[in-house]
Amino acid sequence: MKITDTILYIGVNDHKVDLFEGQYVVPNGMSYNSYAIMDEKIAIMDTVDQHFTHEWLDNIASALGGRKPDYLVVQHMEPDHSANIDNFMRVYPEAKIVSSAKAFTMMHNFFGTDYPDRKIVVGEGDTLSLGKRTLTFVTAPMVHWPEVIVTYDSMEKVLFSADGFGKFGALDVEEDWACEARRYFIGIVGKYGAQVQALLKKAAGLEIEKICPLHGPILTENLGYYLNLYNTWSSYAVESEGIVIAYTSVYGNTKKAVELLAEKLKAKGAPEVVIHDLARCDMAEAVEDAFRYGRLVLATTTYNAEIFPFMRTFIDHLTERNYQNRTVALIENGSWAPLAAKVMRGMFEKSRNITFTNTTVKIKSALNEESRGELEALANELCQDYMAQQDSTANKNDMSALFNIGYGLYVVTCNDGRKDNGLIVNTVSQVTSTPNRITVTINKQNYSHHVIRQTGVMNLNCLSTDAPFKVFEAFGFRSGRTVDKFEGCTPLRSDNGLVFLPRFINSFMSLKVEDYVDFGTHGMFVCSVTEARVLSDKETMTYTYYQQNVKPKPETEGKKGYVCKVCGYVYEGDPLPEDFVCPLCKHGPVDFEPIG
Amino acid sequence: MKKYVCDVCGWEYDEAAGDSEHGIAPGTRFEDLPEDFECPLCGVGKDQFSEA
Repeated sequence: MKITDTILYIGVNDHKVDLFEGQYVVPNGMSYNSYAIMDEKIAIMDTVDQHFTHEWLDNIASALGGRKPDYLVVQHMEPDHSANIDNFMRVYPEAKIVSSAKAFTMMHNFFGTDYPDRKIVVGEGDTLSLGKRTLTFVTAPMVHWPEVIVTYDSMEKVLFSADGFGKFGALDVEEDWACEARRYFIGIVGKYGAQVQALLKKAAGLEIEKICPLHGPILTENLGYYLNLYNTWSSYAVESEGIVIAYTSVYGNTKKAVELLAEKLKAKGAPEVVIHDLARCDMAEAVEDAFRYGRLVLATTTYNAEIFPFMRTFIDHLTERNYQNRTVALIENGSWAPLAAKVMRGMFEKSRNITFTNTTVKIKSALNEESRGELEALANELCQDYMAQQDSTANKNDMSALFNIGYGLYVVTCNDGRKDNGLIVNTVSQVTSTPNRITVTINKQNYSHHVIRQTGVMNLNCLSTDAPFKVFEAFGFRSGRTVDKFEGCTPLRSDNGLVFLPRFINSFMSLKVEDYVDFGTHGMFVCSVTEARVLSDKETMTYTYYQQNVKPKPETEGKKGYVCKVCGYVYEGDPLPEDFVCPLCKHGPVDFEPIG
Repeated sequence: MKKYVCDVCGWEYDEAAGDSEHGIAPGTRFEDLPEDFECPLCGVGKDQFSEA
């Protein structure tokens, strides 16, 4: 078979192998690829598996047509490629062997010699001239062994990629590339994502028209497709939308829960739901799917106060391969002391960026109303975005979406002619830059709104993330009509005579009102900027940051009623009046949530 | 004297032994290895090592 006019295929197909690499079932066999580069000198790229010595040596003889090879390039020492090095060296006693220093050390270990009189050691960037073309060697440590080198033919623009871009399946079988390439990658190379990324970066600098791997088809067209998949897999990014359920079930009760969950997930819009019975499936396929999709449900029974062995093996396979960046849900079963969820969670301790769902399902021997409810809650959690995307299931009136509009937090200061005032505002925006216009929207119930309507000026102080809760208590929960919020302070003043805060702000702007828009409950001041100072490079505090880090958790223990999500004020009673105004921060019922 | 293991490939650095092949004297503590030290087997940096 010709790859190009000067590169010939001399590999073999194996349909007898029962477990590739001692563990993988390969229903369509394997190929061990080897290539002959025919130039003024001849280079043979790698050898083949031990069971195909004579077929391969015959391939060489017929490809070379009487000529003798000058070099054997050994890119990878794993025995499925290196087994015939010694046989080759005996048949071609004049040939030299080209490889990395680490490979020669391994050769000594495997064969008892590193061919000291015939060896050529190459490292990163070293070259070998064959006449019309020069081969360049690139190291690919831990893709997937430490000695690996890949080789670039700049004349034919071919990359000999060692085990990279390989797949299960012999070359005389037609099958989809991605599926078996993914199972191969995740299984064999999965742990070394970072090292593959490093190799892809080096390859990006090369002009490549063909990729010749050591397994699977030669890639000649649309290389972007394969490179893209390799980039996705080696960066542990989610490739496909959907949910994988991997389970073990001894007597069928956990299995029933899995089937019920799968039904719910499909009904709630999950684009794919893949189920694997870990005791009976191809474990490598289950591992492949766990990496392919972004959401994984693990369902198992407690066993000897640990977890069922196939689940333990499965999770070990995942963590060994650096499983990360994914959502994991746990379903545990136990007939007396369910512990499986705790054990499974513990196994992911060292894994990066694993998000566990809020809901964990606990089955006590068999499903009951409570565990069915947990399954429903879990399905809702796993499918929140799928449900919202699907027309038939989306809540199209979910006004909590409005809480996701982001805001900074500001103290707006003004003066009514008698005293200074300040309040907390989040509704601030820069709307244009030619000229600069800032909008500040204030509730008409706030005294400051009245003052600024009259004076036409204000200072906008940007609170930084170090502002403590007492700033919000001082400016947010009291009225400036009755209280002097600056009592006892000698405040700093900007050119317009208004106060700016000495601490807890990263900047302030003096604003002059150019326009006003009446919004009924609120008024929007459209302002130009007359002065602007930057005091620090701390981040501006966002509303989210305030909610998560500054606002103290309200004392709701034992109380029945409603709590204000803005300031924590607790209203004890039911119902919350429709026109209720929070006495502390002036927000309305929409910002309250029930407690107790 | 402690031992450190490369998380990626398993190569072991034994502080007591050092690594003469790469010019590191016996007794050299892991913290004292240069910042740009790389695992001699697989090339990753010090941040990918764990105490054994």
